[in-house]
Amino acid sequence: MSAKHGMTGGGYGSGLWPVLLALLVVLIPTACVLWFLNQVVHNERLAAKQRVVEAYRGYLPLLRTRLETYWQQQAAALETAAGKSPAPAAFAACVRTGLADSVVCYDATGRLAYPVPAVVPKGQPAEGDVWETARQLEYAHNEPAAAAAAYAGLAKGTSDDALAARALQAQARCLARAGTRDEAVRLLTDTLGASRFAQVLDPEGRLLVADAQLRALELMADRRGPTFRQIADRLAQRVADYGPPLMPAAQRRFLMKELVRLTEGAAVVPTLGAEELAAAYLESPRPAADAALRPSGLPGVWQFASPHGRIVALLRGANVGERAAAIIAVDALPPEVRVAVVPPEEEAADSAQLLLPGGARMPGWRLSLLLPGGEPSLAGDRQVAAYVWIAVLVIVAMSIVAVAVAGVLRRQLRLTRLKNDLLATVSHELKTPLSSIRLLVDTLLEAKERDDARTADYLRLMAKENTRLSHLIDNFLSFSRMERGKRMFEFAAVPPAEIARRAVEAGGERFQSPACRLEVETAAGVPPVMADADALVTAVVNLLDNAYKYSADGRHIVLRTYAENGNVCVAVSDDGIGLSPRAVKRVFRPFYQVDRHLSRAAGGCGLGLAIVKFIAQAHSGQVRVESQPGRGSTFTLSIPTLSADGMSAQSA
Amino acid sequence: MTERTVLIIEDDATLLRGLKDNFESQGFAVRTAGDGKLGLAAALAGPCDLLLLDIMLPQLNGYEVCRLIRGQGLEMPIIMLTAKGQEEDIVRGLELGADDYVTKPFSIRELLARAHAFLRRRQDATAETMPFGDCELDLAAHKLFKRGAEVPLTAKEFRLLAYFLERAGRALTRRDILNAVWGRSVIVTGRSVDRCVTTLRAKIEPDPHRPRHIQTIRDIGYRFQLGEPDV
Repeated sequence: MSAKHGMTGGGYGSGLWPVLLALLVVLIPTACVLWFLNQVVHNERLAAKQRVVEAYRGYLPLLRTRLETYWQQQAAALETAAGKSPAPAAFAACVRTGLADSVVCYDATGRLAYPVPAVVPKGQPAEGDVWETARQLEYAHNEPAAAAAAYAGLAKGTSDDALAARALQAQARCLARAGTRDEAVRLLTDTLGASRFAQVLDPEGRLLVADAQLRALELMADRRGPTFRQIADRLAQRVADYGPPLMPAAQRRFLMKELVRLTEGAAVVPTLGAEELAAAYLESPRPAADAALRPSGLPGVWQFASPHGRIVALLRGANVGERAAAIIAVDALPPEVRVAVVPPEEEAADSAQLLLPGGARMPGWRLSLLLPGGEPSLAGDRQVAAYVWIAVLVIVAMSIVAVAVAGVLRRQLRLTRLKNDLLATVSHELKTPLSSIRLLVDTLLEAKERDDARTADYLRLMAKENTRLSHLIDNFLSFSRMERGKRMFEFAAVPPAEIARRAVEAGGERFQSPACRLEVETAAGVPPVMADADALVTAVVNLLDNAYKYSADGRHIVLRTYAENGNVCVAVSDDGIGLSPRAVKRVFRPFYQVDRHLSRAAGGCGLGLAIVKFIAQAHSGQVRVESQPGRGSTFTLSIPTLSADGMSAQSA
Repeated sequence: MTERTVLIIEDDATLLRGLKDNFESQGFAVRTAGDGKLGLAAALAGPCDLLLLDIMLPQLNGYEVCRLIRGQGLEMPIIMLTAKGQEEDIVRGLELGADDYVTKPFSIRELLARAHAFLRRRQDATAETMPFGDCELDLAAHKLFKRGAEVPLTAKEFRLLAYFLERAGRALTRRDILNAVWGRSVIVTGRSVDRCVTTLRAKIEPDPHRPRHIQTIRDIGYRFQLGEPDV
């Protein structure tokens, strides 16, 4: 019962559920298809990428070979450089030609050859008492001028170049302290610039002349002048000269830095970085170098050795990356595909599709293939487009099916409602006379005393109800036959006046009662029609019935027959309630009346006009209505005349 | 017995005539109306003790008449005359405030019996104890006695029985019963009503398989009969 409740409850909004169903049938599968499509497209992209990766996979070993060859060549070049010249020159050559960021050179016995610490010269010439006197003057007595004179004498008095140079240096120092800077500068540059002093080392093993030049630069007040620049150039040349006389690496680095400082960066010292890197490398604990690119012990610096170990090349990580990138940037790859080298212990980029070990020369390094993201290849695109089209077609097909199904369902629903209407109408229309009859019969049977007048009254009423019942059943049956297309008509020539007469006769007494004034107007000279007389009479009776039912007492009904445009017309006019324009359109539909209104102005089953229409069509004619709400209606049945249409159509 | 007024709203003249004659012969004062609008006007114009209402009426259908009459606060019993055998139509009428229904073609004896039952009940509607069959329900003490012995009732059963007794003779839909006894807030189904009715029948019916008091109206609900001989 509760289920039934639910059903009837749902029945009130029954127009909605086919729509809902269609939505479900379309929306959910559409969502599924879209999801599926998304997955497919995603997978397709991945697959396309995979195919590209596979295509390029072959390149990576090739690139690796290239890299190996490159490093081999570099090592060989280093070896060549080491073999050709002494170590400092080899250092300079390697650095200047860009073979490495820096190198460390060893000699044939494996001893460090460059950069090397200063070598303290052996057998320093003895300094006499005069030196002591001069120093006393300079430091103890603080008499720089006198000290300078003493040093000058010493310089002149000795034939030993080293002693002379040191005396000159001391003289210049004292002159500077005495305030005669120009003289000191001249002494430091010109006098000490003589070739005999070029090789002189100071007691710490440094080149004395180079220090003197730096000192001169420091003393010079005018650091913009040509003299300053000239001396600076000369010093720059000297520090860049890796030939003999050998300058200790530490002194070279110091001079280079000072030179840069004094000239405020104007001096060009290209090998300073290499010198510093080599020095740092030598100061730190360093793993053994071999032909492979390995960590050097310095952070971010890599080392590898030439084949015989004569030179260890130092390379900064960025430099390694650039070189490798330059080597592997080959024209065989399309521009959007990039190959990168990834240092050990570094994460490859997310977009890297393929990683390959860098090979024996680059242990721990990896080669990665980078494909442009988000731009699938053309083939992938075509595939995806195909999938999209399939999905669109599926969705469209589904929608069409859903619409069709919804249409069928709605039609079915309407049919069901029609059947229900029929059932309700039949039960009401048949049961009302039946219950009247039963009520009257029961009353008569149970009456204690018989009242003749009332009995006669009841019998009359029962007869009326009986007639009504018969009429209703006739109508139902003819409608039912019509529905099945079974009714056969027998055509014969019938004068319209005859039809009008028989219809009025069949209409019964009520049309002659005081409640009704029926006028029959039969035009003269109306030709007979080829028709089934009984059917036409039924139709006209139905029209008269309607006219009666939908008018109030005192009604005036007019039945006219006339000829018009080759048609014979039978028109029934009333002065009843009339029809709204909307109702006019629907009035010939079966069950129209009960379909629209439960409150009916009169009995009937809503089939009368449907039957009239059917009969009119069976006679190749038509029925039309003109109506004004509240004023009345005129229903006109028109049938082609015999002369206009020699053979009226036989019903299907 | 004072004269009772019956208002009959029916558009079929023959049926109206028959009903009128019968009710008049039973001593009722009968008023009639031929369509919904006239019927509503007649019902509102003067008091009547019983209303016979056809559903398929011109102008204003029976449901509307019923709804409008109840909306005006009139509480006379309404018996629907309906040709529509479809349950949802009957349920609809009952939920709009009708008390009972007969389906056409109906037995005039049954209709008169129902009418009498409704009118008799209105006389003793205020009693504290309500007897039925061989039982008696004490409304004040919330107790049920069967041949003098107390029969224990659950709270739900008591309320259901009291509801039935107050509406003896009326056709009650499951939804009406649910709303009145269980309340609107609780989510229950008609099954709950059926279960409670089953236990109640076991307690009050002489033979629960052939219930005398709580009668099932198929597809609609229940009708409680006091168990007196029919008139």
